[in-house]
Amino acid sequence: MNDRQISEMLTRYRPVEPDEGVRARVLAQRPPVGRVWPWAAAAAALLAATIGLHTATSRRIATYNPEQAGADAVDSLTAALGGDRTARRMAEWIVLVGERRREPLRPE
Amino acid sequence: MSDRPRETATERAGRLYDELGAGLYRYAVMVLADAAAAEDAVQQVFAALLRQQGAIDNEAHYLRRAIRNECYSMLRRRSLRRDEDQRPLLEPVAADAMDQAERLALERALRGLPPEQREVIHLHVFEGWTFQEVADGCGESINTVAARYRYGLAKLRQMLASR
Repeated sequence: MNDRQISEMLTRYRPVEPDEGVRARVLAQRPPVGRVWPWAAAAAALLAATIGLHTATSRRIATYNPEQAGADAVDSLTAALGGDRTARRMAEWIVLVGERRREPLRPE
Repeated sequence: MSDRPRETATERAGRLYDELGAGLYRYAVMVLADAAAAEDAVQQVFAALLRQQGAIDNEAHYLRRAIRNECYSMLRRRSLRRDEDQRPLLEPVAADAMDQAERLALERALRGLPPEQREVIHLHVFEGWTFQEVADGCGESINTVAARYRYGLAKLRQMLASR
């Protein structure tokens, strides 16, 4: 087989044409409306979460009132123990003991 | 530049696909020797075209360069699914002249060529370009193009003779 015969064989064929699906898939692509940097979006989300967490935590710390928290605990425990004067004295004693045990761990 | 009425990026892509898409696809099929990869290459080229905001002076030249760059980029990345896509690369020119065995042998031989040789054979034999046009299109000297064609045919002859 020489070059001429090879060329003749080649010319009996042609590369395949694209089917209609190729056109549809190519033109289904949409031009971008705006460039979005995924890393910037992730960084913004992380920053928003950090600020939100810091704000929520700061608010809780700023509004924390240890005396009110103790009084609430006594009221709650009094109700659980029966709600009478004896239950209140017992609740006050329990909360007081608990506060004294936590005192070394409280920040100055 | 033509006095074409203002068109959207999508309209321009549709027009250019209708004018040039088939030729770009056929080129990619032959260079990549893989019909599925050829479709990927054409999609990438048109995705880039859709991102192109400004006018393009020579649209045919732009797209031919783009498909060539994309094909060789894919070959360098070796992102082709080797031997997995066995869709035909060729079809008979005359519908009643189908010789399945010959077509398969020819495709197997073409797949065995380096892509640069397939490229030259495609542009010269299938697209009818002169060697000078092939050289200009590929950014190579005419001697390089002619050598690739000669070596390509020699290798085809060797592979077809051994079948």
